[in-house]
Amino acid sequence: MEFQITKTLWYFDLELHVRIGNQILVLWGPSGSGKTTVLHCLAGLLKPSAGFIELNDRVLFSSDRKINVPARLRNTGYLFQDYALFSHMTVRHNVMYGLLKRKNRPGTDADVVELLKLFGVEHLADRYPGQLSGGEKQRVALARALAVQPELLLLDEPLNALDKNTRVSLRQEIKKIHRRWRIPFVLVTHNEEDAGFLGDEIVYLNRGRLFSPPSPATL
Amino acid sequence: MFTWWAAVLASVVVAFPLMYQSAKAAFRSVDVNFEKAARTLGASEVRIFFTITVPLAWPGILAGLVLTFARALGEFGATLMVAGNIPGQTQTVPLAIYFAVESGDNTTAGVLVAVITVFSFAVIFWVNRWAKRRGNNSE
Repeated sequence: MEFQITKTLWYFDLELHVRIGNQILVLWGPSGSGKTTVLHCLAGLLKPSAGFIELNDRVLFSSDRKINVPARLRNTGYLFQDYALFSHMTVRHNVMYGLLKRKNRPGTDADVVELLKLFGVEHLADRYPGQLSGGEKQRVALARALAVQPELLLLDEPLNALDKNTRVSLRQEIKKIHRRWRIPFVLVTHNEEDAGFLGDEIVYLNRGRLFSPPSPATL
Repeated sequence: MFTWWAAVLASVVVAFPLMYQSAKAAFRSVDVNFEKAARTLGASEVRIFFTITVPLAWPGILAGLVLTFARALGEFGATLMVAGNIPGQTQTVPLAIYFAVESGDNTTAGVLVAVITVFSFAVIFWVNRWAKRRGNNSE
């Protein structure tokens, strides 16, 4: 995957050029440094001012060629900061939501259960998001994002709202998932420790600029 | 003019702003992140509207329905003007009460007041119970 984007925000210009394989790219930086904006651009929820986004030889966005693939066709998984689990649907229906649109092989209940099992939350299938703990919500949100078999997973501050123990175990889980899925992950965090643990590639972002990416060893 | 359609139209016109306000507030209150999440899961805008936006805005829309219902039930002025007071055709309960009192028939007026009060309470009671049941499901 490769992307080079610029986006004019009202307080500064965001500029970024990154190329990664099936690795975990960590965008690390203080709040307000444009990290979430980058994820939104990659997912197609926002349009970059200029540049291009390429994923597995598929052009998702190109300002030169006037290509902008809409979010629903990009096939990227997105884990939102507050998880954005649909509060009026059960865990099962949340995970099922992205599976229903696939024409070749619509998702089945068995797919959902299998996926939930993988995250150790199959016993929660019939609960509503309001009845889950933070860590459980996180796992369900991951299952939902990965259900569509994305080619790229975007994670926005995935460990932010969790207590220390859950945080450490989920960190390892994200690594494990990454090894299993073999797709590029782009993860946003302001936490140095998480960045060092998770990142194969770390990019430090401040006021929209990319700073010398420190190697994991220096963190 | 002077048909029951005119009465319906009068009620709609006076009640519409209430519905508009409630529905607007309800749709606004839906977290945009839900819609964004649905988009990244491959849902079309139409599907997002019917499966995410409307269900989440539903309590507000329902509140708007109750308000408009109450407003329409008590509608008097506009109805009298465009639909008139033709018994059996365009006479609404508020008109009937007014003309009963005018002609000194307080018994009829009293009965009608009782009927409309009980009816309103019944509707609101039913709506509340129904809304509560839905609410319990999603909490």
